[in-house]
Amino acid sequence: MMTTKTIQTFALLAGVVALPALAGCNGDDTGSTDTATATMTATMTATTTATTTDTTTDTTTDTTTDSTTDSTSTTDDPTTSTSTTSDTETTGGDPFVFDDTPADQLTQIDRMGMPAINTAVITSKDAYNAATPADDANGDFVAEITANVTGLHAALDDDLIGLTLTPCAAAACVMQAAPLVVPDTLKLDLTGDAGFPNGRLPADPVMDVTLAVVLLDLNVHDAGTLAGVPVNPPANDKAFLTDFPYLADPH
Amino acid sequence: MRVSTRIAGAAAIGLLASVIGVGVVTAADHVDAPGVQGNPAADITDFYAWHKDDGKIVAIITFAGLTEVGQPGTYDASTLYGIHIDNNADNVADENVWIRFGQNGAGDWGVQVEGLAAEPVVGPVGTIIDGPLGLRVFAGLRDDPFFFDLDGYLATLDTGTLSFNKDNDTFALTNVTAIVVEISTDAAAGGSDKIQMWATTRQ
Repeated sequence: MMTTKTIQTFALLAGVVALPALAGCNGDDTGSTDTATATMTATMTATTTATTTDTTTDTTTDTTTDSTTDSTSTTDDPTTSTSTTSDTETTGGDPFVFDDTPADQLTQIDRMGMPAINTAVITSKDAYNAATPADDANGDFVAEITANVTGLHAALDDDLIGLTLTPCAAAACVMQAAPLVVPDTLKLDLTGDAGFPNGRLPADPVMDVTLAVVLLDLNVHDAGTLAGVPVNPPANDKAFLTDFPYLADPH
Repeated sequence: MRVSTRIAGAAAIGLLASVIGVGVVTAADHVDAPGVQGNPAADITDFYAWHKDDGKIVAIITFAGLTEVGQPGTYDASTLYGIHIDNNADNVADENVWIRFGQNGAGDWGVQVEGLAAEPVVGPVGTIIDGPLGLRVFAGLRDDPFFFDLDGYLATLDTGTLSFNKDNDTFALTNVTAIVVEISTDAAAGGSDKIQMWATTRQ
């Protein structure tokens, strides 16, 4: 399941979104090696669109626009004023009552797209939670992602080599992971089969795949390598439901 | 062996910072960021989204991780949950689904979902609610769908040696509160083949 399809999906998904952060990586990766360059070039082949959007001017505009647009989009909440009315109708004589504060008057506390990105490779955790995908794409967090990935490799590369696995050079890891984690969203290619990293289903072994993308040279190994071992538990402790709402009953 | 204190599922590999010396020292019961500590309703533990063959997209937000068996779901009227969809590759949401919890006079909790439908969809928690335009909603206590050997990860960081155990799911036998929403792919994607989605909480 997670074999060559996964790799192809990475390449496919790489073209999904504009990735100006990749260009930012390039400048940040002072230790960039031949391997890194080669990997990045390969990645860029799939991200032609992204590379054409890498100018600072462009991304700065994006950020500005995003702040504004995000606030604007939160006012896509035209129903708040009518919600109480409809609740009454729905629930008869004892209606549920909901707060109607518009979204743009509230403060963003947390956000999540890909699994475990904030906790794994982000240092400015609260700032990250308050930020937007446009901020990610602007490259706001690429420096800390690079630093954290570098640190992880310093600690674990010897073990990986001991297991006859080939680690990626840190800069190359960032390049191969960037299409998935920058911006921090789940990417869905509706023309392909669903399954991480094309979206995320409850049963997908996302941690082993994510660890592989961050740790292993994907020119050598498949992204499903660690999941194939497996390194972590390969399934949930309770079986998922085949139908809505999909998640198992509580313990 | 299990960690008894709260840890967000998504926070599973959260101690990396302490290993690589970037100046953040965290503990085993750390959530993904200081700002969500002690705030389980707003602390997203995982986000799922996938498309199905029947023209629907499923999106799931889980929060209030490591809820112990026997404890109720976490419902907070002051937290706004958002599911965001960018369908034109500009990294800005084109569609937003907003979810809130609220109580009735009897103190029962209900859920309200707005977006992608003409009218808000409202119903009690713990039941499947069908709305217009293919919208389907469930909110309530569920088994934590996340599986990961957090203990092994912590040991890995402590020792600098890979120490995972595939037989140890740190999140087994714990619950979360979940919002499950099924929406029309056509309404979400706006004709695009490639979309991206993310979840937020606001207070």
